[in-house]
Amino acid sequence: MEENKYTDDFLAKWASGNLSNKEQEEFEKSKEHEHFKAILDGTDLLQVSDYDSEALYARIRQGISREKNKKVIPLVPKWVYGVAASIALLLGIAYVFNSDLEYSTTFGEQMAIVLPDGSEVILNAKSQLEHKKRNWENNREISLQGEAYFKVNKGATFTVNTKKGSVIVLGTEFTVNAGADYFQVICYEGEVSVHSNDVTEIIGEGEAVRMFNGSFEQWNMEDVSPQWLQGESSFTNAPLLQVIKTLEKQFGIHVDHKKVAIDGLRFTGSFSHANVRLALRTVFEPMEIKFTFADKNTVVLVQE
Amino acid sequence: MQEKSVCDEEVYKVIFDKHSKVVRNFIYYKCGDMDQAEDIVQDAFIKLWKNCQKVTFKKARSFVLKVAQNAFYNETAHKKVVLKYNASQSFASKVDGQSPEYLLEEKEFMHKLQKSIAELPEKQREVFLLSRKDKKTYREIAEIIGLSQKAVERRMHLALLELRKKIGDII
Repeated sequence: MEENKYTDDFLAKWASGNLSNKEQEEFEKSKEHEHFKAILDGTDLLQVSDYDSEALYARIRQGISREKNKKVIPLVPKWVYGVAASIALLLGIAYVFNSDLEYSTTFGEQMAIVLPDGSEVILNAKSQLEHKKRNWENNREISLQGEAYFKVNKGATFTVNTKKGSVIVLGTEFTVNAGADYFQVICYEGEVSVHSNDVTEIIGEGEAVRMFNGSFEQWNMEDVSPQWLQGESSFTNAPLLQVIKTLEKQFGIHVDHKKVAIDGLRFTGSFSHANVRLALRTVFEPMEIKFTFADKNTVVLVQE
Repeated sequence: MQEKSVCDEEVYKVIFDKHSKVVRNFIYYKCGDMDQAEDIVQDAFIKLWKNCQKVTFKKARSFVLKVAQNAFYNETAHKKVVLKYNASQSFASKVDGQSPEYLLEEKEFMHKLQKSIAELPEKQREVFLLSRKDKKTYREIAEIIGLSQKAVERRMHLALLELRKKIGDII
């Protein structure tokens, strides 16, 4: 075949039947025409495999619904959200005005709290404080578990309730340390009245009182604010159990004292919160008690 | 007049029915794998649905074609395009009274034709098959491929010359 004889779209025109009559007639006479005709006829016999368009469409629909499921489809009209938000807000307001505010610290942690009247509280380690939010100005009442330092502004009676007793003040600085079986109040400024087991004790500046074995013990001290605010715990003739509890709270450890007779032992002094080993030595060495770490968080005491 | 929205499911189905086959075949003529072609068509139509607000009714086909083509170019594995040949339909059924020799020749010819089409350059093959198997006009093919009609006709011409050369003088 002489390719040059044709323009570069000649066969395309022929295949689509777009040659002029003259061109067509001439081409049909040639031997080449037969060959090309055979190619087109042969191609007609070839098959492109069948097409199940419905099945493909079904797959596409499936794909689309999978895509849709990924999106968030609004189930409820938008105004519902408004109503829901309003109700939530009303409930929230009611809750806020009636609810108790609760603060708590974990091992070795301290927290400064400013009460609604501007009075300050600093919570020592592993302690919990709670008060009503509503009508604070006329009803200054707090419940405490653990140890806290109070700097109370002048105003209505300020009451600290604990399991073992309560403290009533009229504006002063003091700490309360209250646990399940101990209760201690130190006054740094002003006067506080301490109540426990139907006994009332009024203490002034530089005075401290603790409930021990059902009776009050009173002593004097010279600190102007609690040592634990400066990262130390200090004790004056304190029952050793109370010191151990304080160690546990500051360092998040457990002290096993079953092998030591600690009843009646008293501790005077202070330990730093910086280092647990140093603190343990400070407390136990003078008492001739050995301590070993059973694991990272457990200390076992043994009599020397 | 308001344009028909592709997001309307009936409109979407119309587009699918009208264009899915040619898109599938177009991709098939390129890659030679029908499953792959149908997967590509499926993904392309899902993409059309996702973009139904952006794509107008008129642009829907070219959108699907573009997406399908891009998907095709991203997939590397290509097979040979071998169209099936059903021997029961043959030249013989068109022309009566052919000799057994002729039938044998025909079989050989068809085999060569299949092979030659498979060996065509992709660009020539897609034009040739869209024209001969999907009965698309050169103008339509130009739209599908995104070329001028003149260029499509040139490719068709070249495809026929190429096939003729490969098959040789069998008749």
